[in-house]
Amino acid sequence: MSSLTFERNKQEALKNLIHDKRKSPVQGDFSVDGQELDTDTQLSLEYINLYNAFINDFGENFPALKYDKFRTFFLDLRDAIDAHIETGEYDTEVLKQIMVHLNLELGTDVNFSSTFEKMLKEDSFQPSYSELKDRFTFECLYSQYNNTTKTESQGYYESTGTDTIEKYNHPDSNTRGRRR
Amino acid sequence: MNLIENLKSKISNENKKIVFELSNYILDNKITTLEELTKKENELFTYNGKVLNTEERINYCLDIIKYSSDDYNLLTFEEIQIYKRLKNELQTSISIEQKILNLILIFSMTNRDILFLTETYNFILSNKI
Repeated sequence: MSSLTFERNKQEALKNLIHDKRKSPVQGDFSVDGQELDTDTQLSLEYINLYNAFINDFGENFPALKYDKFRTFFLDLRDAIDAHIETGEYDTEVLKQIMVHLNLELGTDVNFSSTFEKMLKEDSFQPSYSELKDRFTFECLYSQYNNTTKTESQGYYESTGTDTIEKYNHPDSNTRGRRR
Repeated sequence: MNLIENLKSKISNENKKIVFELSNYILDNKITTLEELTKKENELFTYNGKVLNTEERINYCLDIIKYSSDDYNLLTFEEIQIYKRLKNELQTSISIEQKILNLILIFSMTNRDILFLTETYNFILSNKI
């Protein structure tokens, strides 16, 4: 069962989805100056949107423990996006689902609208921070959304005989991290 | 002037890595003005209590990338050709601005932290990155 805030944000996002209230050309349709952004760029842009909202707005009202949890989550998500852009390590759709999840945690505009629609249709939302508390980590949420995505694919496999299950590639820790 | 909004408006498929890194640096350090960004850059380029001038900063960065073999291990064949071109240009009489631009690009390709913060910001806004 999700928290009240998460549910309220979900209902608000659903209303926006229906009425298309997006204001900025940069947020929402992922094209800048008429140029269509590729998926990696969309992920980068949406991360900046979310992290900016957390650092400069919503996060300022979080209690210390919650702030720390979210900050760590954001830093791990950042590493994952870096690794994904470099080597394609993570599942793109799962990363999008996680960002939609964060949109609903913070109450910010959902820009991955097709991902959000799919999550609504499949009712695939994972527990919010209020329920997970200490287990609210990038690794945990990635695993949960990834397993849900695999289960959906498996359902497709069983009905069509087509192998659509995506492999979860564990990151190689020796190749990650910035050089100084 | 909103630094983050300006950077977001200039993001592209080609410059996403640099825009992503600079935006995150600005947010991590709660930088809100260009003056604060310049101040941070000066801190990065402070050596033995002295803030390095432009030429000293360039030489400092050239020292960091002096030996290429480790860098080559990080790059694809195509990237190595770009890296070599950028590095060779640094040895010619190109402008200071071009040298800084080449260094920014080389540092980004080789996963090094951005040091020329203000210049990177300005290059992005003027579509040079």
